[in-house]
Amino acid sequence: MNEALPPDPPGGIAGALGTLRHALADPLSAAGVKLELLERRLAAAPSDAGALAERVRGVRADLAAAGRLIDLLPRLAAVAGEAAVETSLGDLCRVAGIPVEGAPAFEPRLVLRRLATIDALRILVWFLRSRDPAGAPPLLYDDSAPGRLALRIEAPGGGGEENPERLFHLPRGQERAGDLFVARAGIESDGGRLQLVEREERLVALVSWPAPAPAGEEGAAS
Amino acid sequence: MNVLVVEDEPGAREAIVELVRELGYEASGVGTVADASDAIVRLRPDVCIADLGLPDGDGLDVVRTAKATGHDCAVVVLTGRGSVRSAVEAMKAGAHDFLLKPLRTSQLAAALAHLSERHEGGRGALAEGLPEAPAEGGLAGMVGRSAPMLEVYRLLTRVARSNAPVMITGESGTGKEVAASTVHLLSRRAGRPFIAVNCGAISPTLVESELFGHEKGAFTGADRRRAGTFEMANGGTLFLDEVTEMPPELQVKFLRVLETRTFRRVGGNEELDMDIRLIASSNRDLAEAVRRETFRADLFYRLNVFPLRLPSLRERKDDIPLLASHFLSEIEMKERRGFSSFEPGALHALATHSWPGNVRELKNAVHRAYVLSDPPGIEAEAAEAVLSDSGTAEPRPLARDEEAWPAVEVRVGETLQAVEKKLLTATLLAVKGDKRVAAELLGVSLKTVYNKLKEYQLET
Repeated sequence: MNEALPPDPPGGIAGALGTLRHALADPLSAAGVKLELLERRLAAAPSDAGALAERVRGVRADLAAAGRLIDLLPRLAAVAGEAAVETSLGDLCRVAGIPVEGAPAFEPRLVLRRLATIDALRILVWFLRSRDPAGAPPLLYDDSAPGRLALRIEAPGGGGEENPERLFHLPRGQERAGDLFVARAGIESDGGRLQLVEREERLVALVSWPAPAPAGEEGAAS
Repeated sequence: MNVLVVEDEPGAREAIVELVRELGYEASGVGTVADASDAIVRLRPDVCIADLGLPDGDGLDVVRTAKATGHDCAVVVLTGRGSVRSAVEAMKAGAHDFLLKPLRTSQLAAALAHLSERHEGGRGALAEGLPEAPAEGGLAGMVGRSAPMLEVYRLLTRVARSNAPVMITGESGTGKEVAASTVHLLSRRAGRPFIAVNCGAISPTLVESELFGHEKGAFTGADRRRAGTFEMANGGTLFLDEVTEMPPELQVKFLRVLETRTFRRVGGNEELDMDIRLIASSNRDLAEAVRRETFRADLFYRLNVFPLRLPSLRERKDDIPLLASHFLSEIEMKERRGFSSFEPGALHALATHSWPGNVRELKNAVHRAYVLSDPPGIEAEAAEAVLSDSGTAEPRPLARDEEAWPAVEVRVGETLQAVEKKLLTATLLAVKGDKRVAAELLGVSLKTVYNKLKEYQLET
């Protein structure tokens, strides 16, 4: 175990994302270092260069933001490279350390990427908890409807997000948006859906997947 | 300090060389592994900054070349891959450090500053004349000169020179924190903080704030800015004790911080650099925890770059007399009752015990025998009484069998708090200080045990 290392993501989309991260890192890195040097030169120059130095600092900050975003690529590569296996939401919640009350949605077998789904559930619980660290921990509820298995995750406090959907679009300066972005990618990779909505001044995460076909229907459908 | 930059893209290479010079070091650049091999022999650089992807090989080839020349050149690998594998491979191959592209000037500056300290003699204990090789009775804070311990010292001394994460495993009571602190003392970070965090004792609701700190107003009750563990340990060593107890959601966060080496305070926008050497420990089977999915495989690989197993006291019985004398001196320094030695029968009793609680149990036993003896020597009878009182050589069964455990006397009029303290103390004594077993017997979480120990100011 000590000598073994995790495999690099296999080829396909996962490999491509890894290569893309690598390829983007080089020019971003070079540009950042060159701008750093430019800023240093300007800082040492006569005072009229001050405004220019400020502009360069701004460009460096933009570049740094882009540099952080490319760190999402290996995470997406990990999602893309993971094989889906048969599991149940109850099992995934148990591994994720999220208490469930044995609701029906947690029992059926689904074909999901285990690690990506576990991470997504943890990210959602973590995100909701971080909105009100002193409050009660978020709880999971079975929100299933015909044809869909659905979970609702909500914390008693922590609302007040005007447009929660915006968080999935990686707005600048939102620290947790990257995690939510990866969580949604993980859920949607298995045909699921993840939404963040405001309900009665509470922020609620809704996660759902198509329900598995009842035994016997699968063959009939194919 | 002389730095060689190995980067194939000419524009990037020139910029890094120039930046390194701006930072106050001599620098030159080459673009291939072949040219790097030539330059290492010719220029004898103190540091190589090598890109992982080069036209005729990779940064790991530069690491191997540097090692093959026998010249003491520290290699810092630059990687754009961002995968756990590339970082771990680089460190296992012998790289001193790795930096993730896009390169941040502050991280490059911190890495070079540390290497400069190492180059110039620095502030590490090694440079100050403290034991590079094990001294007569041990190494830094570690005591013992048995063959298994000499091997531990050899590995510790070796790993202390690098920045590689260390994973220390061993039974409860074998001295994992002492070993971690020894790595710190022997490293170039010795003059900086050594912060130990018990992962089982972190409150899940406040964990983010505890580790990353918070800004004023970040949440209700955050009335001022507070530095977290990462900031407090910056420049030094962070010891993660009982790492398998880290809450699952924190494992994800932690991995991200390790990968990007940056973090933000809760409620803050400023991205802070993390310059920390990580040492983790566990007395559980980590590989098994990974198999059971209670511990993330990617975090395991990231922390387990340099595994180090501490032997149990049973495996190094030769050290018992030395350890016992060491603890006796420590106790005598504090209590000053005039003890200077052990009666031969006392040492014999200690040497033949099997010590399931390891060094911690031996330390406690010496202290109890000290209390029971009259100076100047620890008496054989006292040692035998202490050892027979401590139970059989084998660990006790973890059954809720009331008959199997010693009783605690409680009287009417005592406060609940006093009773709780008494029960906690007795339970820990009965399980030889194993807090996890104590928590299980008491029907509380490990975190609660730690909190109570803190509350009652009992020794942890």
